[in-house]
Amino acid sequence: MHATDDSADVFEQAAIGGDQMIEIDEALKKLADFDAKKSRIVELRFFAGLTVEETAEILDISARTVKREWRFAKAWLYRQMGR
Amino acid sequence: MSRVNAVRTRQIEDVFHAALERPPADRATFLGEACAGDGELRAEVESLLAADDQAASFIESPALGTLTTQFRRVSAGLDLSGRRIGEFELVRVLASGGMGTVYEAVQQQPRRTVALKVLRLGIDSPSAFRRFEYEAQILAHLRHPAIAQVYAAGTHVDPGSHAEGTGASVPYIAMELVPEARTIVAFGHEHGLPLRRRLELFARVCDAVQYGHQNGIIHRDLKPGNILVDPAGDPKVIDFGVARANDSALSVALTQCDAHQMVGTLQYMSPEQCDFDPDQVDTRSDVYSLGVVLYELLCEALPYDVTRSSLSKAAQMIREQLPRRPSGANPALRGDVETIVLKALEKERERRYASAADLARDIRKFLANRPIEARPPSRLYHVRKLVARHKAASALSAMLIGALVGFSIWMTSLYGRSDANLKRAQAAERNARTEADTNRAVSEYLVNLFQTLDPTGRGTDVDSLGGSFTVRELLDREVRVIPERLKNQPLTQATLLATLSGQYVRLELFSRAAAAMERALELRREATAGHGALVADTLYTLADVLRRKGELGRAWALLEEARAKFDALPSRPVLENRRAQILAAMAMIRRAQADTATSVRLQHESLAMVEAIHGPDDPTTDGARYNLASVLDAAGEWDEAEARMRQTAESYRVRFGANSSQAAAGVHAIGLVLRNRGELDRAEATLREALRLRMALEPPRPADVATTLSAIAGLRKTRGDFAEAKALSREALAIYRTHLTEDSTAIGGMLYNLASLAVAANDQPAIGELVAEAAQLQRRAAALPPDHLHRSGALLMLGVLRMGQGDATGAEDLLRECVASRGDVLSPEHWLTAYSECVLARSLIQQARYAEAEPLLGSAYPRVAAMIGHGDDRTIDIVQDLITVYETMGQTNKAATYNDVLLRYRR
Repeated sequence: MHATDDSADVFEQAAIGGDQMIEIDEALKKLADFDAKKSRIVELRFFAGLTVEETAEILDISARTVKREWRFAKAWLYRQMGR
Repeated sequence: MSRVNAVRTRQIEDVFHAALERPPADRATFLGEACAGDGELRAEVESLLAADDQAASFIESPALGTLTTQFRRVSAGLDLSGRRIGEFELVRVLASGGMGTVYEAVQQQPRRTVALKVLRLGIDSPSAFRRFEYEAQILAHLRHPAIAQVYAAGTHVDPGSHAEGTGASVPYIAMELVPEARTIVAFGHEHGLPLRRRLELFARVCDAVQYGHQNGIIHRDLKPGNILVDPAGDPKVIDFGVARANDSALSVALTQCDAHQMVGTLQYMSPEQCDFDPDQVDTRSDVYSLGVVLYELLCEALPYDVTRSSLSKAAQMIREQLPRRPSGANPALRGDVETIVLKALEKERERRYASAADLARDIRKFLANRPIEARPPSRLYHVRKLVARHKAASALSAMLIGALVGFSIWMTSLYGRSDANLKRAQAAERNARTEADTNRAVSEYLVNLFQTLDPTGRGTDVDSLGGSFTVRELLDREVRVIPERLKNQPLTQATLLATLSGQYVRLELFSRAAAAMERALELRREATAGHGALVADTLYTLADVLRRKGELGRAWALLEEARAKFDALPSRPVLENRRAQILAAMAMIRRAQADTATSVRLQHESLAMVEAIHGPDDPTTDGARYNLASVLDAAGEWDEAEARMRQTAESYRVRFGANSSQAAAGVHAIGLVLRNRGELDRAEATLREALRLRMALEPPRPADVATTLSAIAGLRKTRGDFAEAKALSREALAIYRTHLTEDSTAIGGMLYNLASLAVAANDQPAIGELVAEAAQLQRRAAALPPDHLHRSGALLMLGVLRMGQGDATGAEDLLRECVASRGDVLSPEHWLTAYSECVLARSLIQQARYAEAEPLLGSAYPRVAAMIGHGDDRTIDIVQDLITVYETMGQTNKAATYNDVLLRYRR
């Protein structure tokens, strides 16, 4: 998982493969260490494929909160994995 | 998390979101103010903002697809009309979708109007660009009257790119514009085309697709929106190969829309595409999509209703559900047309038309009134393989969620109010759950599940061993990690363990099932101080697992404890029902111990309780009646057994309808009672009636069909008609193999039946073949855990075959090993162990070691008879052996007694 502006051929890394899934999961565990809710949202959205609304329903929080947390979590994970 | 950290995190987040609300240009100023000299905070937020900028599409597509692309999204929604791209002047937007925007554009040289598709994704590297151009070049070579031609392709620098520095190169494709085109489905509908015309039109589409395939290009995204018809009525397939054959990331990116748009696209995707396994996608995937379009063209409806499903649910439906019959939407399609459509829609590629040309040929044969190639599903194929590779695992995840979500509701409604201890434990657990709650547990399961289902192929070796293997691995891992992950949540832990235990039972891995349930019991005992309904309930469930495993003594003790606990609770209907169930479970244990008299008494008591709660006319009461009839049959009280079974069956027929699975089960059960009481003619007629009913079931229940086939085969065997018995058994085996995973014990059982048939018929060629099958079973078993029944099953089968080859000592060795290895999974009290001992005894008889055989047979016979029926062919074989033993040993009285039994079936 790398930023798109590095020199590697984007085509070789477009799809998230198994290793990257694991990488995401690793990063997710770190996220869970300081914010379990965000990590849950990522799991439900990314791994379980739930929509924002479905996620909100399961966690019993507002859709707005899901969106907000999701955005932060994504940025955090992205950065984490780029390191 | 420490308090300080929490405050800091909060601060970072607040500044992050506040900055996002401002335009990018103002952010630096804002951060300067907001961070007020806190350089660390500012650096942190800035790096997160930079990541946010690049992470727009990151993990946005669910992992299910694992096709999430890392492309930067550009030009989203930007209208470029009036601008120029390359030699094209963009006139107006024709359509806009997830992957890009289609413009009407004018080309300068040659001067013509074209459709220009501007893609939404940027290309960042030269090698990627070369690849794109190369692909476009191949597409430009496709020349077919029914394929919209690609004229040119290129890239332009995206003016709307928000990336700093250079803008990304955005690819575009110029292709033939089909003016005033309608989608094929809309065209058929609006012109009210008759069936013939629709089929003719569609066959031409197949020709075009075939042409593409011959040129090495799979369309991959065939759907009405890509199959247009011009006003003259000529079809044009567009976007051919935009999803290219060699699976470049470009094609992935192009076909992969946003998740929410995918559900719509998914409807036309083949099951293998839904698996997101690029290696599995070939020309037959296009044949499938053509089938869906044909379905929609003819029925004006889709084969599956996925419109309101989530992505994963929709994919699951496509992989597992049978399509709605076309004739249901349009009765005129009954017969050949329906057969053609359904063949194109087969889940397994091997069963579809091999090519688009074959599909077109069959359509044209139908139009010419010639016989078509496709055959409507035969008896065997009626029975469909619904167990797709991932079915069990997706079901497992759904079930675990269900278990957890349902658990609290269940506990409150069932026991909660009357159980103070439970309430306290739940409250304590809620308090402990600040960091990780039930949902956390759910999502962890999902993470694990989807990792295991990694479609990149690493799981292939595992999968090749059969679907249940994967699930078992999954279960094993869950059982291992649960204690660690849910340390502070004993009740949640127990719920999951109990659910997993149920799954082990389903896989017939009873030792593991028992271990998981034992742990659940322990946890629940601790959490609730050992009192109350929850523990009682767990005791009951554990007893059920142990009974299946054959640990009858322990199961009985647990049931007594459960009963005492329920008795101590205030009387409520729901608890009364549990009491009745406990009695029925105790009855089953006594039956397995061949104490049929006690079993009958207990079932009587259970029925009385159920009747008191539900009244005489109730499905639960029917169930209790069935249990009683069944044990009366085992006890040899056949008049009453038959009368009660007929009453039950009649009740099923009235309640659920003559064509229901319940009514069919009732007829089957009557057939077995008739068989056991020795009325073989009536038994066979009844079982054949049950077969007819079961064959006609909608939805089909293949395992039921196979069960009845197997019962009829047994009857034919008893009557010495080995050829028919073999044919029926083979048929049952084929159905099991189609429907179940190869690890299912039903398959092992059927193979064993065939082996014993071959030996009875002294059919040496068949014996030889079955030895090979048994060896294969054994190899398979070697890859399975030691507590899988295949291990001993293969030995049993080989032992019997060895006897058929005249090698009694070799057989004895195998059978002793079999009996010993049964102990790994089943207790010695289990009827299967008893039965294995009977087969061992037979190998001793062949060696004239009658005195050793006698005790084995004597102790096992009543248990086997009570469990599988006095009239089962396997039981009758044991009776035959007993007669041989007692005659040779000079115990004529005993021999005569068993001879009387035998005469009941062999007159």
